[in-house]
Amino acid sequence: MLLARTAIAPVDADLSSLPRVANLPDQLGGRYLLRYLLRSQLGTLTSGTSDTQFVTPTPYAPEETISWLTLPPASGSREWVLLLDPNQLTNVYGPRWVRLGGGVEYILASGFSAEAVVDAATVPKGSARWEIEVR
Amino acid sequence: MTPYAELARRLSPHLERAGLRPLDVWRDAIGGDRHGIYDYTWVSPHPDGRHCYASLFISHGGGEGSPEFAEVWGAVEEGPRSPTTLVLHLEPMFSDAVWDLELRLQVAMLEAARRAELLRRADAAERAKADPRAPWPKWLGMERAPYRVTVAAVGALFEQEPERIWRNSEVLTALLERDFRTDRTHVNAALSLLYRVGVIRRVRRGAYRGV
Repeated sequence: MLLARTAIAPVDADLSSLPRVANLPDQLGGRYLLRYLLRSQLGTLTSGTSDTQFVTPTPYAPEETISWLTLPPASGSREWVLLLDPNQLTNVYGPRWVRLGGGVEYILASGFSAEAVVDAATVPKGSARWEIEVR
Repeated sequence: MTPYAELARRLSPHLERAGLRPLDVWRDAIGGDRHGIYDYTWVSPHPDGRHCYASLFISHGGGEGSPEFAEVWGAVEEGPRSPTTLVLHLEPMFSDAVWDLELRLQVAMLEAARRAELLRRADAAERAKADPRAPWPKWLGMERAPYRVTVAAVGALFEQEPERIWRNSEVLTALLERDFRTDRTHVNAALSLLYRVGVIRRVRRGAYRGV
């Protein structure tokens, strides 16, 4: 759940009309943002990326990802996810309803850094930045 | 910037002429990475919220178990059960010559925009009876693209091959080969219009080339 009074932009709102989020950790109420992946993409984002990314605060089962995130079925269900720490993200826009699907998304206009990838295990900080299998 | 952002940027004017705008632009780059797929989407907004979309999806490819493909979809916004239509699936993506790939994508995107508009207009009850997987829903009762979309598609042909001399029939054939539904009347009218506004020039009667 997003914090109350957080306006969710309509599906046809483009990036230039979305508000730049100034208080993302507060807005998410302590949750992470999720970037789903295919098995073949494991390891490709753990160092960060500068590509514009669409991410969601909502956990989905693999079979739900296609319809709720409006993904082409041919690409297959997403069985892996990267958790992103909202405290480490900049240039974040949204939230916005996902077109056709009904989910909620944020847009990381300039991607994210390696520091934003959440450690998958309780080991020294930064040493377990990898994807988590969705079960 | 995604690997295909430049391709999306070149596609955009054709879709904008057909009444759509890119959904997301960041520093002149269109679209982005949507959970493992490059997503380039244009939208035709409608006041009733039933927006039309034309989307180009390109897979990352390259990895084991990850097919390399490009798909073009049309869709209309109706919440979780939004009707969609697959216009084009290319796999592997670069099996054609590059110029042909881009032209096919252009024409397919215009077709996706057109089909989305047809879906928007269609009666909801009729739509429920139709097979949602059918690439061409005959129950919509329209057999060719609207004229303004045909004009954009013909313009795209000349932009791709500005030096080539095209006869009317060759333009018609090229569009039909790319699954674009049109006919001789619309193509002839589109050529006349593009000639009058200076987008193409006439070499001789019935033959044109780009400027």
